[in-house]
Amino acid sequence: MLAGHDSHYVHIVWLVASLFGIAAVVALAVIYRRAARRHELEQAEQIIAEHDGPSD
Amino acid sequence: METNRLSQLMTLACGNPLARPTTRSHETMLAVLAIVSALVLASLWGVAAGSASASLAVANSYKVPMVILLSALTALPAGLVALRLTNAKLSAVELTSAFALAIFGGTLVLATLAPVVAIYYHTSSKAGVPVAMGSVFIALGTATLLFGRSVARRVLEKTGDATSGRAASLFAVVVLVTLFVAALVQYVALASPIIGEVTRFDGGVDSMFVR
Repeated sequence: MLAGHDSHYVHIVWLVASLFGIAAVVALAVIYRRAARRHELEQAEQIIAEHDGPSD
Repeated sequence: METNRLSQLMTLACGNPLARPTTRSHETMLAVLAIVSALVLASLWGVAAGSASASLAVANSYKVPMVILLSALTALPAGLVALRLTNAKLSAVELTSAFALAIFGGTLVLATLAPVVAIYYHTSSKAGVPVAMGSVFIALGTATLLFGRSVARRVLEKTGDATSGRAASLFAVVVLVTLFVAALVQYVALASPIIGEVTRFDGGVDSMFVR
């Protein structure tokens, strides 16, 4: 029993908190995919710059 | 590729710089990977701590990572605000990344101690719970040290001076760690039982200070 609330109330609070956690995991997946895409682009740009470098 | 990233994660957690300088996107990727790895490692400890019954072990494999993730999410905004208000030299992404690495390091310690927790829980009536609790405190201590070291190193890299701007960044570290622990205590109470026996932490902060 937390703060005088019954176990059902505490269980609901835990479920709501868990939903926030699950949403955070989904957000992390989206952030990772975006960052991975940007990183690939940066790597490609770097390779092109290295390739073009000596001819300049 | 992912194995390579995990080894990069370990390199950073050990306090060593990467061979190639990281871009912001690469740092974000490593931070997310650190959090996801930390959740898996925490899940291992949860299974060990709840191995008294199959249902508790299964429930812990979800509850323990969720408690850590929620505590981090609860503490992070205050740490970022503290960082801004103190006009620290560190950026929000860098602080978040260091925090994620520290959580990874802490949960790595938890997972390493998980077999010890499991064997003591099944073979000792007196030491089982203290060993489980002790492993949590060791992990928290390790994570705090890693966080402080990581932030101090980043400030040094940015400013080139070991003292300039370090106090402001370390203040954000103190705020983050304090709020992480404060949130952790209450989330543990919400998710209890995590360990098969009643502990002082099952009732949250209210039961911790009751004599």
